[in-house]
Amino acid sequence: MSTTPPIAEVPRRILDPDLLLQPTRLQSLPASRISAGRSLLEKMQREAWTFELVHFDIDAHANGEALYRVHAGDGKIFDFVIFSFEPTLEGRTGRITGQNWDMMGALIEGPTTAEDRAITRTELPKLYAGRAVPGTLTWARSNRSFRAFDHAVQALAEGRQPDTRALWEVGYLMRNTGLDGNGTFLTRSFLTLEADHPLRLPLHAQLLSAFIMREFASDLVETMAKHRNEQAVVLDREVRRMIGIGNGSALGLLFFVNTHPMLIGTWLEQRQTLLAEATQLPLVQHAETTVQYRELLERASEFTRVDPYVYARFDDPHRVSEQLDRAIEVLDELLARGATSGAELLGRLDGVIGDEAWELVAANLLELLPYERIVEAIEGGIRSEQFVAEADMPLTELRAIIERDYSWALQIDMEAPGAREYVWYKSADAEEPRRGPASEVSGGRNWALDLPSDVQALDAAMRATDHANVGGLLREQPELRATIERIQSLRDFRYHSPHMNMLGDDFVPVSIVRFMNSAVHGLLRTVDEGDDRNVLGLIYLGAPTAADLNEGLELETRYPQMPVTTIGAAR
Amino acid sequence: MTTEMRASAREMRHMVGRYLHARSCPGHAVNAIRDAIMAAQAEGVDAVSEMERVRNHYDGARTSFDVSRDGDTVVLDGRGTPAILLAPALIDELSLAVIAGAKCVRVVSTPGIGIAAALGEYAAVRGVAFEIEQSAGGADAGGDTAILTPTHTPRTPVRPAESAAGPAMRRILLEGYVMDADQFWRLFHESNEALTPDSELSRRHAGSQLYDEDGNLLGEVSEETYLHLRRDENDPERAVLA
Repeated sequence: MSTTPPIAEVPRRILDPDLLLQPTRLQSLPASRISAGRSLLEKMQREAWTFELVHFDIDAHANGEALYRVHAGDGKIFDFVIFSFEPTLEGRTGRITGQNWDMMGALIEGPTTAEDRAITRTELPKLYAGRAVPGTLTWARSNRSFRAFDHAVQALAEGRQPDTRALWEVGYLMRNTGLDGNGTFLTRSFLTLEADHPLRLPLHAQLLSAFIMREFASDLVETMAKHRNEQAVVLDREVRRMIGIGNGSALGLLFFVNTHPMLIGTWLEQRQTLLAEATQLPLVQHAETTVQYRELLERASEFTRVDPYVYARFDDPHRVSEQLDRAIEVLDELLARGATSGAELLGRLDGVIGDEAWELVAANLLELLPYERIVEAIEGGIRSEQFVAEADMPLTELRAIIERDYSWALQIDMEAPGAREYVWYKSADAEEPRRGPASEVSGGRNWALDLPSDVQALDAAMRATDHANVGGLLREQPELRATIERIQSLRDFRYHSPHMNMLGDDFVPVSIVRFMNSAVHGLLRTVDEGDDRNVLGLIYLGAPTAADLNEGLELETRYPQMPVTTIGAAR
Repeated sequence: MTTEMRASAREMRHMVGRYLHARSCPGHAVNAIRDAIMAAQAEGVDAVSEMERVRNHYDGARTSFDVSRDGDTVVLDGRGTPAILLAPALIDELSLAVIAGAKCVRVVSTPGIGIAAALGEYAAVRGVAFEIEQSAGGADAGGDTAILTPTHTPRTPVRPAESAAGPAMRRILLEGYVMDADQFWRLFHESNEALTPDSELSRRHAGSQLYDEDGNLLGEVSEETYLHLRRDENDPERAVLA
């Protein structure tokens, strides 16, 4: 049997920006090996990072302080200092407008001094008015899930494990309510992280903070149980592993995408390029990598099959599971005939299974690539996002960029009914991003990025002008500056802007929110709430624990499965 | 008595941009003017105070020059518009003047034009270098005329790994801006005028409130009040409370 797969082209939908950048397509991209959460975890595992609980002084009311120390692979140290508070209900919401948190923490290049921690304790609660100590990378906040948290404390205090199924369904003991860095609160600008800085890749500092918050949540549950009963038991390792950190995201991620087109463009290009490479690798029956790939598809199928949520705008996970089973059948058929490739498999599945299942089949091909290739590809994602006008650029060159990258924007009818239904604004209430019908909103400004109207106005102006270069056109029509600067500055990127009219009544914001949470950040169970704005999800659900990393355990935790044994009371 | 504080480049970018929006600076020019203010401040000029000083000039301001030619000199007439508002257009015109082979550029009727002396890095990012000769009075005294001699220069990369837009901006990225704390927070709060007033209707636009079939408010999104959409074991069509 041949070990050389037949020639199959990279599926067009992998590399064609016009196909990839549709919001409904972006929402289907799953967490993968190059999502921030996964790539950090793989880095920590391969470089043998270890975690140390330096102290944990938290009283029976949950007030106190803890300090976690991370020993990164190259000898660098990071401290995560935590301030814990007794929960109160006043001012408590899951939204950014909330003002009350059960824990606040700071990730600081360490080792920190007692003075660093004392200053941080004073400054953290001030938020925007607070000033982080030098070397601070993030400030983080989280709240308990009362239901799951109290249940777990009570169970441990009674000498038994919590109900596994209940924890599996909720998925977390504490949920993230804010992870800020990159200059906010005078944290360190990620633009200045050294070339050998262990957390230099986009979002790694935030995800390390989330990983430690997850660890803290389990430690806090155990400590509270111990305060209740000296004989309390601790969480089984498998249960600790199962628990993630909760997360809720909404319209703010639309603004993030609009203001970080270079980061998005770089990341998507890296992802799709790696994917294209991976589709060309041979898949051979009984070969170790092929067997592992097939097992991952099986795990993904099982993971989606037992997903406990109903989704509104996204594919039903049970249907995704069935389609993944079909994909495995097709893979087996191809392997039985001889060597095949991801390209051939994906080609056979195109139009046969839905987008989410197809993207899972594709994303798992990334596991076939050498780690070194992944690392090489995902370097360089941090960008200044500064737009710069080039007055001397010939308009013919600008025209060529528009024709290559913005034909979609020229084709949208912005005068059609509903095309300008919504405005996007930031509320004076903690700057919360909101979207409402234009007729219902007054005051403030519309923060939407209206690329279709902007590009169409530029196109019309270019047709009418006698000037030969950008500077001349800007002298004549200075109101085109922002549009021109953006287009010029993004000309080296192919995947920078979703093809969307975010003002339109047919635009579904959760498509972009989920893309960020799932594909970029690496969250699992990213469920929408039916309001088209909010997406819940879980960070590090089922991932290795700090103890697993310390012991160097090699565990398969991708697409985690609920522990087989029901440890707690049956429901 | 005032105290000093440090603000990161990101915080300054946020505050200055929003302040310009709040003062009704033409939206198409906000980002470019913001970057010019940040660059000038990084080079040691108090551009933030200048931004505040001309606060009544933003609404409806012109953002381009009237341009004419006087022999081998390009004449840029700002028509009384504060220079800070015309900084992006100024650099564009210097670039065009180089292409056109002009010997120098004369700026007139542009109050505060002296601030251009602190735009060296801002211009270099855009491929232009220049020397400036101000009229008597200077920027601080409100001088509105200057002679600039532009030349082409290789563009300074803005990518942080390469140069981060020049040494002054790189220093700011590392150390932040030293600001008068009272001024920074005064402008920070004033910039919030660009935000939209809160209301019950507005809160619905966040999508984070839940109502029953009769329109009664059930609560806001959070694990405590959220009607989780998980399936009930005995009735797959039914959503149950978490």
